[in-house]
Amino acid sequence: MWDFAVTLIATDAKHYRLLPFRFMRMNTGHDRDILLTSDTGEYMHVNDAQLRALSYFDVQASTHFYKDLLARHFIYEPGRHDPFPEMAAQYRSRKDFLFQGPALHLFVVTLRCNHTCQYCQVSRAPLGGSGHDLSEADAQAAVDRLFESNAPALTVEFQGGEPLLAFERVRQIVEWVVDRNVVEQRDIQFVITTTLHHLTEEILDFAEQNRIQFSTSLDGPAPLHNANRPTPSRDSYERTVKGIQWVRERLGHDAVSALTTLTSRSLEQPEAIIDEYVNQSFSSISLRPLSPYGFATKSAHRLDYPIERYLAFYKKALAYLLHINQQGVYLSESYTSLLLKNILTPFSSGYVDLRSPAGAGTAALVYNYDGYVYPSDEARMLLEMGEDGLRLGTVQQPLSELLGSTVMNALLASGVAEALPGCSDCALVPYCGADPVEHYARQADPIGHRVFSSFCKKNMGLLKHIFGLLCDGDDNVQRVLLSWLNRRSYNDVRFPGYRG
Amino acid sequence: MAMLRKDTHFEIHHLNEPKLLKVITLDEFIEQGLAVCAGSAEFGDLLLWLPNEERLRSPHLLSLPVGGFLIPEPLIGDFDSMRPHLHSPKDADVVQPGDVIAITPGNAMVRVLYRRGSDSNLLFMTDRCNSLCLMCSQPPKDIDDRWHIEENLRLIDLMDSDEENLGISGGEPTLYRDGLLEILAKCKAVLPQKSIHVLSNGRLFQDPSWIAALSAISHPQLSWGIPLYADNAEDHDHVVQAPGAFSETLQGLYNLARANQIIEIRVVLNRLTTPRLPELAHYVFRNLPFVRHVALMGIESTGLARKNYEELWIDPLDYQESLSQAVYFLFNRGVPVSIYNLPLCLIPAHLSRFARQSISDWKNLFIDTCQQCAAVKHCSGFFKSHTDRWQSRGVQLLSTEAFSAYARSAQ
Repeated sequence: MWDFAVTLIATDAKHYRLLPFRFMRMNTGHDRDILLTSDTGEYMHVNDAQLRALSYFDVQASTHFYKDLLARHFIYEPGRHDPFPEMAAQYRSRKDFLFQGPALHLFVVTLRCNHTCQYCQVSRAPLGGSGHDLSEADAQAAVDRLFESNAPALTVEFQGGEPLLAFERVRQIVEWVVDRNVVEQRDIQFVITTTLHHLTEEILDFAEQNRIQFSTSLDGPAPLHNANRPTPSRDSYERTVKGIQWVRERLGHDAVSALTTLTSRSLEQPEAIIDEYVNQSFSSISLRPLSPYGFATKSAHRLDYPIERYLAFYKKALAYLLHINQQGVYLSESYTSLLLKNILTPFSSGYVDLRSPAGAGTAALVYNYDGYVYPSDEARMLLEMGEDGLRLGTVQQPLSELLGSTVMNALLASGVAEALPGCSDCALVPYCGADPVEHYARQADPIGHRVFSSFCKKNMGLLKHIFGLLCDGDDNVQRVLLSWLNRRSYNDVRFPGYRG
Repeated sequence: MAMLRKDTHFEIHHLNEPKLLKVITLDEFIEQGLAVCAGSAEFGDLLLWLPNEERLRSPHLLSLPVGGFLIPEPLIGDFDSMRPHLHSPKDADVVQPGDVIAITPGNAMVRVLYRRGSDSNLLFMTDRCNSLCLMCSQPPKDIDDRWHIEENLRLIDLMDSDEENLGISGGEPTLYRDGLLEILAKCKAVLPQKSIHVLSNGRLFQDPSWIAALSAISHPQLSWGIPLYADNAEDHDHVVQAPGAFSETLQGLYNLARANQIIEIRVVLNRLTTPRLPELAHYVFRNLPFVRHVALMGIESTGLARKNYEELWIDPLDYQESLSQAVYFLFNRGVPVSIYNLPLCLIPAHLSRFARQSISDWKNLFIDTCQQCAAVKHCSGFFKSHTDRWQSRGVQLLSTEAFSAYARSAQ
């Protein structure tokens, strides 16, 4: 039998060395209140004495704690096992999205819309407005840009305004893409983001042929939805719900998903909003706070709310979701699912807003109706507010030129969370992202100050809350969260297993 | 499922040299001829299955130009041929048509190297190994046994071409690097329908030149079963009794991943590996996310395991919780996970959906208690080496009611 003790370096009092890690007090009130995280997203909950022992090189070899620290790459033993291959593999998994170019391509086919929502994220033009549609020549160039990305899976998303008001252009673009793809052989998903008010049999036929998905907005029960989304006939809710049913009848239940916009009014009724999603038998709900864009900032005094109010709402909503999921309803909160993937797996969700380096431009491109290209939906909304600083160029320029633009350079220079002031020493940074566009919009500086950052407050608040549930939640809460992680039924996740 | 040995005795006549022979019936011989073998073969490689009745009815069959004859029963009458022939098997079930057998002059032992239709067939590469695992079921021998390479290359030619699983094992098969690569390439060329599973400790793959070699072969149905016994070097290296093995295996696993190989992690459950089993599951998921399957395996109580009983033995009832934590951790994260070699009576009902009938047919045993058990047809049972000393206090027959709880739980 081998005697390993003799291989220890006897002259070195420190039998281990530290690897880069961060820590944070979680204020949970219990003993293991400190969250330790590694650069690559491994984590442990430890108590004060353990953190002290770790940093004073006082952890006894061969103890359970010592082996945990070794196995999760918080420490290593010089001259013995070299953990760098594992750490490299973890970096590679977590930043895997860097290996491919933009996968999400948003085509703003028109700015026209029949709604006059006060918070509208994108501004809008009246129904009969002219000069607010994407031209044929620009649409064709945008399809060229799409295929210049090396991403094997591409999402082509049509936005507005209300894209169904420019359906002929949508049809043209889909046909061009399908034709080109005979040679390109990418995995392509089409999505139309729409109120569904202008659906026709013809549109549904076309959607069926090309397996087009619909993404709609449903803000809650009729009174709330209609108050949020005014139309002249005051029946936005009724027409959207009718549209949802129609899509499902023709294309199947899962051909339509819905997003929620939360106004100040919405924050008072989390249960009612969730119940509406249960009644419409959706399997996911997206509880995102209002963005500081579009008209939202101009009418901020009426519509905006402090992020603390949103967080209180989120906690209530999540508690209710956890409750109903345990009763056998499957309804996941999509942002929570993304954060869970970041926390519980070695991978990143790859979600545009939760990437570091930032996803704007590297993950998504927006082809605006006016022929200009933007790094994100939010960046083009700034334009409608009167800011034109964040455009990458025109759709007639090749992708390499757009991605090499000054704006992209500026965004990426302030888009690596691990290197941003306030983020670089935050224990939650492995699970978070960088959003230079939002910081530019809110603070007129793409780096921004974390203390005044609602992006930071939101993600810190959510991540801390989720870590709390993962650490302290009972088995059934764990089961619901794990069921969201891999979209399995609650009953299929019979036991939570090791909590890590 | 009854245990079917891989060797038996025959009376063997007129055998002058060692031979590998494919057993074939007269009907197959007429319909398929040499095409019954997956690779290149000659008539001299065939052993005609010839019951007494057929021979007595058609004595001219003995003039067929085959390599020999097998009479699957005691010989009746005279055998009028100078060619090799076998008769009077001690166990008549062991050798069947389609099988490939090995025989040597002066030895009555007939070894079955390939059994038609079985998923437990194995290309045995070597008795040598560079580790010395505490629970090794086949203790390594320090000998030059390169002859296995030639025998296996020949064996591949004589197998059926049908879709079956084929194992490659040792010892440590990678010690004969060129031979192993030649065998893998030949499996791809001659047995494209067979999926190949190689058991290796993965240590030698730390040499990155394997990446190009395996990528060049690019076998579409090749997978590797690599053992990992701990989430840290100290514990793993102790189990395999080789300092540095953990680091080598880890680098080997990354090189296999770079060569786009399909990888399974295997963990033998014992007193040393079970205390940190959940942490090991965590480690595998976090560091080796490309792993396609994790097999958590009950110990085989033979070889070195018997010598190291005190250090290794733990009653499976005493690691149920650890096993359950590890299994659900992996399952909930989408990593396929299985439990091998543990009888159903030793695992809680909720884990039965992960339990497999994993023990190769030729060494699978059901003890007396099993005979009246309602679960016997669905259970892994025991290894033939099983003894009372290695028997859990939890072994019991399951009633029909108890087993139906398992069945419900598996849905």
